[in-house]
Amino acid sequence: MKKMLVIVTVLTLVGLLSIGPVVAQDRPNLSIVWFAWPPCDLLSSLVADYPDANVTVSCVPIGEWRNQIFADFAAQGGADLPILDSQFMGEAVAGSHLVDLTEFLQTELPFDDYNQTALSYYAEVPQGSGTYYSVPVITDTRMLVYRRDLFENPDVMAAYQAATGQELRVPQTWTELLQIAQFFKGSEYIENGFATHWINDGDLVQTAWNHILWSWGGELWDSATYQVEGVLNNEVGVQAVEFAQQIFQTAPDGAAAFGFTEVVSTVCNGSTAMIEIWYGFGAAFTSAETCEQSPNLGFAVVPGEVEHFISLGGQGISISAYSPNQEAAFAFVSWLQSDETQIAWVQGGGFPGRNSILASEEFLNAAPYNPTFAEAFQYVKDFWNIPEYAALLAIQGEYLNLAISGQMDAQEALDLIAEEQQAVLDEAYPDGPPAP
Amino acid sequence: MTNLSSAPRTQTPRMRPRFGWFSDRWIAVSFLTPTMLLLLFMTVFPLIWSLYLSFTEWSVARNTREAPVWVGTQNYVDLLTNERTWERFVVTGQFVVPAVVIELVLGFAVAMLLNRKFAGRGALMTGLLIPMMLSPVVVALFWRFMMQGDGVLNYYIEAVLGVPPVQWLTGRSVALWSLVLVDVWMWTPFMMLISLAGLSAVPKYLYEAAAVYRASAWFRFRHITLPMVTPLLLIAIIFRMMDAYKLFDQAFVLFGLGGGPGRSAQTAALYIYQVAFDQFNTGEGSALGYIMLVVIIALANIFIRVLNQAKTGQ
Repeated sequence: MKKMLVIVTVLTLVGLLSIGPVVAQDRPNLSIVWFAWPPCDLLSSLVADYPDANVTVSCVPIGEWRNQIFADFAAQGGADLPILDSQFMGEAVAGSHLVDLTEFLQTELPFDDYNQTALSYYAEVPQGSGTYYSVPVITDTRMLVYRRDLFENPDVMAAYQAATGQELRVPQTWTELLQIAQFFKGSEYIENGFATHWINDGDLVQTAWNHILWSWGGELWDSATYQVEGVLNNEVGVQAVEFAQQIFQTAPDGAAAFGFTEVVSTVCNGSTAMIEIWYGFGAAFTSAETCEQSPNLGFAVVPGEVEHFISLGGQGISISAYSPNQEAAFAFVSWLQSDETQIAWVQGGGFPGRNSILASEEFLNAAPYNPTFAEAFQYVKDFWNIPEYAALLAIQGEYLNLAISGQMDAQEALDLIAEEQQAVLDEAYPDGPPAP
Repeated sequence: MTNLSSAPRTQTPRMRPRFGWFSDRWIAVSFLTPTMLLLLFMTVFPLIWSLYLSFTEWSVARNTREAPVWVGTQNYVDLLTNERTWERFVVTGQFVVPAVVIELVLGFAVAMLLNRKFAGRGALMTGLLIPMMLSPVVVALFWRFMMQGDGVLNYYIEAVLGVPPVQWLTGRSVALWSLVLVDVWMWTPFMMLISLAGLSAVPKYLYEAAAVYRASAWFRFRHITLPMVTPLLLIAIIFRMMDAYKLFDQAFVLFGLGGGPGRSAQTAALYIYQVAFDQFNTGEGSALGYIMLVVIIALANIFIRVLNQAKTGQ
């Protein structure tokens, strides 16, 4: 009897131990790393419905996002599915950290349905090569959030007409936006005119200013020759910085240190008439519980000037070359990009990369700012995605922040940026740009 | 009667102790080995490896699958001839000197005030020590909120003093002083504590003798208090200076990696982090780390010499 009991116990234990691995094999573990913002929370809730793997999403602070991904790459481990900014792609591909997704994109996913601009910026390295390393997980660009109640207030409209001789409307050009912002600054209606993130941290001041430069007809560099000097620091560039200096004057005190949180707060607390921020932050404006002015807000496309460009945001999802679950990762990306999941994604507040989903009723009705998104996305433009991106970004951020906040002359700032960035590029590419 | 004392003693065989092999030396080795291995693995190996990397051109992010390329002293030459590197060390010095001096003066002054018995002294001291006990990140976050353009500091500056708001975090000439202010708030209690320990160790009879000779308060301070406390103060200065020189967390929270307006508050530690972990220039970052190490060791040595001289003079 005793012997029997031992045999039964041993068999039970063996049975229990063997069940564990079977279950784990059925549902492999997958991990995603992104930065902490509303779409990351949305993705976390969305993946709970994925039936074929246990998917965990890490939403790390934005300042640590890139560092964590690349530190993981250096350790040849980390998340199976890192979500990288378009600017990180060149560096990641140079280090052979990502799986080539070209064939997968062309055979398993509706390649032609993707917004080709987004696909090229997020995934194609080098650009124009036809080799893709990510699939758009969220497309994003910048939106104008304005106090609709002020813009539609007859008294305000009359006062604006009297002051400027023009009709108060949602600005169609940057010059018009400046005029409106100057009218509101210190007025009896509201404290400040316009705010965005001018802080020298990450790519914040750069993405806020770049599209002003592009809309004025300027360029950051010549991507064919890797030339910065003479391209950036010319008359157009100076005009774009001087314009930013003027618009900065209409912002709240301390706006040179404004990051995302401060920009959202300043319109939600009713102290600023207009702000500009990524669509990805849209969810922050839709609830009166978290945003006092929510019922009074309107959403519009960021204007242009001589030309019309808006900074590109958004990211693609990649598969790590070090992932032990690459097969499961491919299956997950297929599921994430399926029509059903994409509809659930947009209904939750996400922005799709596929044209058919962008045009769908589900997307257009999901949020009050979504109808403007499709229009805004026509104007997107991105900047360097070469491995030297971080060094170029740091140089631009330092002087741009000083110049826009009025602590450095515009020409001097652009000359310094051009000189230092050129030195970085010349050192990295002594024989000229790499062959495409 | 048997004479017990003269009776031959039975030679009891010497018992072999059960744990005879467990000698003092063995115990010492067994206790030390795990720690030594851990130290070798966590400290010595990274030190040697990073020293090697500092002589190579290599990026942990871009060249993971390639061997580091030996470039000799090129990284050091590049860094030491680069204006930016010196700027960062100058900025760090511009932060360290006023911060440590103000902390020393304030801390010593408060210690002088507290170096007597009065009701509530314990509670007061506990209260004064709180800033030092907080996490630097939490402290920096509090100050960041208070120093914002429309923060509470500017509210009082405008409302009470009637002067224009200060651009604590965004003014190029102010940012570094904001960092000094936060550091002073946090670390003055440390100076106070060390000073108080020094003050309470001064023998009372010296003061009594001085009183007999009707020495003035200034004389007592200049010729009794200060010489007796100086060695301890120098130790406190060494600690604070070394700590302040590698300051990272508060500057990072207040200004981000960019170091605020025009990198005016980018300390050497922030710069190393930017080169090594933002730009992922691992070889250059390692070299920069060693340059900073040499600077700190040199400064510490200077202070230790001064300390020894002070002791000898005593």
